Parts: sequence; C-alpha cells; structure tokens
Amino acid sequence: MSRPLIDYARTGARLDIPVFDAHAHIGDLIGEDVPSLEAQVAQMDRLGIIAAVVSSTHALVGDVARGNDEVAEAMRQFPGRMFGYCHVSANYPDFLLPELERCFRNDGFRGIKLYQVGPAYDEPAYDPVWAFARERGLPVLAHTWGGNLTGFDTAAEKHPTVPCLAGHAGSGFAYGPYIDAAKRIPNLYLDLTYSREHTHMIEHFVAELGAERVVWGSDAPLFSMSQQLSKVLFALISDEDKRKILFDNAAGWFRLKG
Amino acid sequence: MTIFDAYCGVGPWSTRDKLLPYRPEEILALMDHFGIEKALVYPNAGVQWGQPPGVNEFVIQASRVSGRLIPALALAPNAHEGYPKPEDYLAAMRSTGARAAWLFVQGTVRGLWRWHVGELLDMLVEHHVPLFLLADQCPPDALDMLLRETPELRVVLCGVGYMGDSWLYPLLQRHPGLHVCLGHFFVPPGDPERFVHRFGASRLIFGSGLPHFSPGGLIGHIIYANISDDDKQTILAGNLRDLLGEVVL
Repeated sequence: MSRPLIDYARTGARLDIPVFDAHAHIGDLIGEDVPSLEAQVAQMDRLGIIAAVVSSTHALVGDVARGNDEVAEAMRQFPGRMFGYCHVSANYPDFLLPELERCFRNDGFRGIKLYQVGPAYDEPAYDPVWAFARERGLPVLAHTWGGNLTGFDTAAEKHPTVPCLAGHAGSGFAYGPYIDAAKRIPNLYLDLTYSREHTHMIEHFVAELGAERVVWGSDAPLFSMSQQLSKVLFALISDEDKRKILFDNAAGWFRLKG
Repeated sequence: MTIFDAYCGVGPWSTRDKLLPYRPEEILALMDHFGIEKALVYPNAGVQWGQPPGVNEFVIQASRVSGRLIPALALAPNAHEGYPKPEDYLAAMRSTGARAAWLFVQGTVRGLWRWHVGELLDMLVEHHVPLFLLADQCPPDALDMLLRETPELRVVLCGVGYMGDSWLYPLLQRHPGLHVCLGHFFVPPGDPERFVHRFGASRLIFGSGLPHFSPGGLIGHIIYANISDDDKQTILAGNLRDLLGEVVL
C-alpha cells in the first residue's frame, strides 16, 4: 500500500492490498441483465479483488442443485479467483444433507449459504446444516434483512465455533438489532452488502463493535462491485480497519492467503 | 475530477436518525471529505410535508452559510390565497440564487396533473428551470403523463431503486427531457457503462443522497467505471452545471 486507501477510490487506482469478496454471486436475477462471468472477473481485476466466494442466483430462486453446479463450473473456469458457497434450503429437507455432502467433495466449496425463506435459521429443520458446519469448521452466510435476523443470531449463539456472517447488516437503516446481536454473540459478524449506503453506518458499526466484526462483500453482480468497495474506501475509519474489513477478518475462514 | 452534487438535503426533518447530519456545516464537512465542490440543496422537511410555509428557508439559510450550497426551492400549487404564486417563486429564485425546483408529491402536492401544478410547470418551462422529482413519489405512469403533457420540461429523477431499469429505460427512450440522478442508489450491474452506451453521458447526473446516504460508493462507481474521463466528468459535474446554466430568470 503506497498511499491512503481513500486516494485509490478518488483516482480509480487498482488496489494493491489484498481484498477478498466474502459475499458474491454468479448468474442473473429475474429481470436483470447482469455482466457475464468473464466480465465479473475482469471487474475484480480492475479493482484489485483477489478472490470471491460466490453462490448462484439460480439457487437463490429455488433451483439449488443447478445453482451449486454453476458455482462448481465457475470455480473450474477461474481457479483461485472463485470459491463456492454451497447453497441449501430447508424448504427441501430431504435434499439438505446429500447436497452438502455432494458440494463439499469439491475442495473449492468453502462455506454454506442460507436464504431467508421458509423456516427460521434456528428451527430444527436447519439442525443438519449447523451440525455439518460445526463438524467441518465451515463459515455460514445467511441472508437477513431490515434488522430481522430470522433466528440467525440464536443459531449462532447455539453454535459458537461456527463463524456466522449476517448478510446485509443495517439494511433498511435498522442497524441497532445487528449491533445488539453482535455484542452478545462473539461469532456473529456483520456483512456490509447493501445497495444503499446510509451515512455514518459503517463508522458506527466499527465504533460499536470494532472493525474485527465487520466483513466486506459486494453482492456482485447484483450490485455494483466498485460502489460496494468504495463505501469502505471512503469510510471515515482508519486504513488499518479498512484492511481488516476487506480481507483480514474473513479470509482465514475460507483458507485464503493474501 | 470536479464533483457537483445534484441531490443533497439540508435542514431538520421529523424522522431523522441520530447518525444523520443535517446542519449546513456538517454537510460541508462531509463534502470536503468526499471531494464534492458544490451541492444543490433541497429542504429535508419538504420530502415529508411537501411545501409547508417556510420550508425553503432551510436552503436559503444554508446558501448564506456557504456559496457551495446552491438552493433548490420546493414548490406547491397556489391553492389558497396567501400561498406563493409562480411569480413569487421566480422572485425568490432571483433573490436567492436558486436555479432549480422540487415538487415533492406529498402533503400539499398530491400529483403531477396539469390542473393541479400546470401553472408551476409552465413557469419552469418558460425559464428553463429543471424540476427534480423523487422516484418513489412518482409512479412511472405519472412521469410518463407529465413528460407527454409538458415535453419541454427538464426533469431530473432521483432515487431510482434497485431493479428499476425495466421501467426507467423505456421511459428514457420515450422522453428526451428526462434525466436520471445517480443517487441515492441507481447502481445496477453493468452501469454506468450500459446507460452511457444507450443514452449517452449527458442524461446521467451525479447526486449523493446526502444526508441520508453517503456519497463514497457512488463516487467510486463513476470513478472506476469503464467509460472515458470526459464522460465521468460530464456525469460528476458537467450535466448539472449545464442544466443550471441554461436557466433564464
């Protein structure tokens, strides 16, 4: 790093510190014409993002096996740049454990992704997922929204060895419930992906919890990668805190090296 | 790059969160941090209440604190004796340096029908004053009606949300007078490249969404975009400067 991180965003310079995207996707979302996988990786190159952990949007909308297959293919095309979340849904209970076992035969899968549909994350339907994550030492990323953690906080509390990443922390400007939960539960981390950027919210997370509890992700290609990254680069926090958020805090969970 | 912010609120409002700045001095300090040279400011209180008496005082006062804050006045129709008439707004623009107007479709302003706000629209057209609107207060069919009935009007639409392309792009195609403000979160994947390729850089205008939204992400979104430096500068400042420069009072 040769200059303050804010200067990179002011000038459009490629980052020369390790940056890791802990929450990204591949594929389109209904009604959106998103860039190709190649364009997505080219944008990572332009910004200086060394790797991303992705889940497929097709898994988000219910076609879980197809989505996980697409992730495996993306990892094959871009080894070392793309890693995978195995997406599973408790709405398909018979499919949960077999799909986890199928995914994790591929070493590129490094975490589990859950989406906020059907049972809450702390209901018995998700017990096999938590047991699997605990046994294999896997991080779990869950979609949450608007201050409603949908049982993700209590599930994290029950499984203190599992790194739990609460997606879209502070969405709807409901930052309070996320801070309260993270103060109570040491293995609960806040993911900054969010299309909006409420003034002073990142700074407030860092002030209340420490930068060690905040993790960067882009949600690309659904959101703009550069917009999501620049939120952190321009934040009124120290460069040391920015480095923790952009890489240090979560890289180890996914076995990534800077 | 010079940055001129088209979408910045100032002054108090009733539902403010404790984290959000509202005083002109606080806004100016953030503008310094983000490298924003000037901002066109609207009254925060107007968003919720339309145009109660005195709401424009917040932006006029702000412009007295610093010449970097350019007032944009909130308008309302002359429904009752004692309400400002179009010529009163014109006089206020002349005396305060205001060069833009907002219609917050809320409270006293209930829609964009000509029988409701037509006198105001005619005044804006005659003097080339750009009109700012919020996407979540103006359904696409209301915007289409407005731009069909008053095609000479310069409209800047702010706050276009996630997944808004499906209705916004056809509307832009139909109405050359429609401009889009980047803030608070017009950041679909593949843009601004796709927008510039389809409509040119002259119809996309930088706006931060301050004080509710922080400008950093949107600035980076443009600075890192795979478009020419000229187009970046046009979006970040040139378009707004041109629109305000065309105003004839």
